[in-house]
Amino acid sequence: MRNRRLLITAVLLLLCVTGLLARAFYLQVVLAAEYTERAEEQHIEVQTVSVKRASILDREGAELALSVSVPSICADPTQLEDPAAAAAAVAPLTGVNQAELLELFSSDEHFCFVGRKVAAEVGEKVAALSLPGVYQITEEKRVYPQGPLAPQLLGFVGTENKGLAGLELTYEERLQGTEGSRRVLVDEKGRGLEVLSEEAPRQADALTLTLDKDIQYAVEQILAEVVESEGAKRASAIVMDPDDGGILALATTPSFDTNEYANAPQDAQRNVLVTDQYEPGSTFKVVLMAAALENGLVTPDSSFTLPAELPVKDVVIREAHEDVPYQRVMTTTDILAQSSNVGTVTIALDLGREKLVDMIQKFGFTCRTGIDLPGEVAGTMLPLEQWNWGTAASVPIGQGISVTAIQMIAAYAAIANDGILMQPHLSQEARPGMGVEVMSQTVARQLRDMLRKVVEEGTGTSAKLAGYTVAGKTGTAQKVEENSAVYSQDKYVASFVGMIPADDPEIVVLAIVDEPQEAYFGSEVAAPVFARIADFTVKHLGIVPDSAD
Amino acid sequence: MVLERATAFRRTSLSPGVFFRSFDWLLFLTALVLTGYGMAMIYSATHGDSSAGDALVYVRNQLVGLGLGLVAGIGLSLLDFERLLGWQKYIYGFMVLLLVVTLFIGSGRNDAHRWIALPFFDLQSAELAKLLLIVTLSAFLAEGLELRGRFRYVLLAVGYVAVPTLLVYLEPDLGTSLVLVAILVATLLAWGIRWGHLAALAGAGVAMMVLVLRGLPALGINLLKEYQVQRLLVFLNPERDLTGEGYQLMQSRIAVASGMYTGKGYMQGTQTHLNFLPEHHTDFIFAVIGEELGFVGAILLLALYLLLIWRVLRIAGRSKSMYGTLIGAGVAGAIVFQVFVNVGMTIGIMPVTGIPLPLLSYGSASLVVFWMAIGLLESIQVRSLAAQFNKRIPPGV
Repeated sequence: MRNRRLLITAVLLLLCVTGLLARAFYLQVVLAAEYTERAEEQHIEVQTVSVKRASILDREGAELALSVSVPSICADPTQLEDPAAAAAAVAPLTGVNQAELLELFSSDEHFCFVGRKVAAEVGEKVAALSLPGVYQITEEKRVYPQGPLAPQLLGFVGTENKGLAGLELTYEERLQGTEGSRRVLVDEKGRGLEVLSEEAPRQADALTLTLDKDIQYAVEQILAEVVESEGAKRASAIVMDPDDGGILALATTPSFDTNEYANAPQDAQRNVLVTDQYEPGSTFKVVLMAAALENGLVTPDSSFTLPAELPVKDVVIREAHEDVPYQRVMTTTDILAQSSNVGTVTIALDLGREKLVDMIQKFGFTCRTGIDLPGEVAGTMLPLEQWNWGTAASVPIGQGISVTAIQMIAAYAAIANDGILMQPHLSQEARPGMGVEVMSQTVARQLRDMLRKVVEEGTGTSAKLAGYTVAGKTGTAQKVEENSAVYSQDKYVASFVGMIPADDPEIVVLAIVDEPQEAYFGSEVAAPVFARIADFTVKHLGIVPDSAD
Repeated sequence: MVLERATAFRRTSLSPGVFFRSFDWLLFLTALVLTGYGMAMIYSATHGDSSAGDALVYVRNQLVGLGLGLVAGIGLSLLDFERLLGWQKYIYGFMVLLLVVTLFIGSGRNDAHRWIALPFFDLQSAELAKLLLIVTLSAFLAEGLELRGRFRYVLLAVGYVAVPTLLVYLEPDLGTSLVLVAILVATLLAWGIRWGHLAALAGAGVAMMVLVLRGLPALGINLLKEYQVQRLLVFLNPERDLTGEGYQLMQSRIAVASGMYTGKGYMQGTQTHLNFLPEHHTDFIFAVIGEELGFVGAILLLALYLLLIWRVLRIAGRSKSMYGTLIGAGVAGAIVFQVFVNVGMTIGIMPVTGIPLPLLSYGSASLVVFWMAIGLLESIQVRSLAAQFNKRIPPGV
């Protein structure tokens, strides 16, 4: 009896132990992987190791943008002994409103920022208060040591160091680098005990631009003076290397300090040279000339007998100057040199719309250049099938068509580069390949000779430069009144685009003065600006003089 | 009649040689190995605790407990256990008094009254009550051996156990009061309770549980404390409360399961050492074994317990005295119940009850009491064998 009971007990006992073992087996063998993962989730914390954003350098390696470590002041309001006293002590140091700070400090949050990315001295002063609950962390701040240099170009980064405009936006991923990660053994309170493994962050290499900070600086100075002296709304310029499309300077004034980008007026932030279109006026005539020469319709010396005015259906083409003789004989070169509207339209009507449009497209005026700046727009041209006689008579002289400044300088650079259109770019890494042939080498050379005449004896004499041959073209276009389709009577865009030396150009410069107050012809307002910029640039780059004059 | 048999047994002489030869060394060694296993795991679990200051403080306390337990156990093994039969009423009275006093002057965490602070140690009354109940209940049942066919006597036994159980429950210490019930069941089984009576008791028990858990709360009477109900609910669904009880259960499961076959290595348990596992040196010591020594460590531990229980049951079975058998059954019942509930809780098949693992968990009271039980069993063993020797070898030779 007793032993039978004990036997039953023993069997029950074995069942219990078997049950426990079965359960232990289920946990430790069957579910082991899943639970091991859960265990690791608890005691291994994967932290990211931040990486400094790469610097942006000019072509000589000067720093245009770099990242530095600065203190940010934070607080754990629940740890503050006396929120009111803390707010009173911290507010004057950080420049934060004391009432707002007190509200922040009175919350039951565990974390808040008091001041982000403050100066090192502010950090030291706050640390000296040694308030429990107020502490600092190190954050990365983007600094533009050149101050007001090329703000629209460089752009800016947000508080989280993400590029929001300009090159900072275009090259966001390129500049970011790769964050590192760290596996840290943590205890139940979340305290880090030991770094188990670390993948080091990889900072991206500095981004080197084709930009030359000295030329950029000089251009900005000149433009600022022009805006001042001409009372213009805005002045901008581009300096480009025609051989590869690299941009040496790209500036717009009014300007501002890049470090204060976010606070600058919206209008000033825009990189108008790529984001805005304008009616180019006479600088566009070179496109028609290229088409006529390329198609063998004319030679530079073909001569034309031209009337003072040319009626084309319901529009009448007139010259910009009033003292035009009743009838005159001009060569193709003369027509460009004197910027004759009648001559240009005469050739255009002879050539036909299709061939003109074909050349416009070849020059790239109908699509974006693909420059490495955000917000670029393409030009605007009526589709060929919607053209009327008015369109056909105005597009050749650069009206009724809108282009961007970057398209315009790229087109002239193609002429300078023996007919090969190169993509404009700012980063040396964006160096384009072969380029696109727009016209033959011969036509390009003929055009350069014709443009040289513009400066030597035509409308562009103010663009002359001592010691150098200059080829270029003036442009004056009426602006269309805002919110209407009517040409303004007093708002002009004066421009000059040219190349030096004329024979084998090493630089191309475009200068645009938007809404000058008194004089408004490109020949009067923009050509001298071109000359000043070109003068600085050739000397700075050490381009050998090619002319005795 | 029982008394007569007992008196005859008591008169057997006991020479040191006989004592040593009949001593159950395997039982002793198994208990010693279990205690050592426990201390090794306690050291692993606590040596890094910053609050302790000294890496060895827990192990040293446990060693003191072992020392006390050995002294008390050996003392008890030398004592003729049948003498306790005559002291039953005094022992029972002492136990009840101790428990009542504890309720009034005892201290403990969270307004509990669990131990009496004495000059050198804290007397954990409920732990001692386990052994005292085994001794007295066995005596009570041994005396009523002839009456076991009567349900009334069974009910008397239930009442006999109910008094200390209720007092322990009031401390409150639900876990230990359940151990007392387990002792009752084990002893009744060995006593030879009729299956019908046992079924009636079981039915009444289930009915009471339903009443306490469902019926009375519906009437607004809550016998279980809020946290005890919570424990049950959380046991049924640990995700229910991942900050309190559920957190403990989940953490112990994670610790055990992430140990896999062979564990992370001694002193290498991440969940234990980084404090994700709460109570790692007391109630959840099995989780430390599971994490650091894996399934292999768990098998080893349960094998040791099986060995221990086998020796206890063997002594119970071989005892020539019903009293000895009942004591053995009571001790086995307590060990089995505690191991099953504790390990079950750790691996998630039992709710959290706060019952220590016998001989393993940190806590000298439990350790001393179990060593005393071992000593008592040795006394039974030695005297059973001595009786045989004495039969074989006539006196005077």
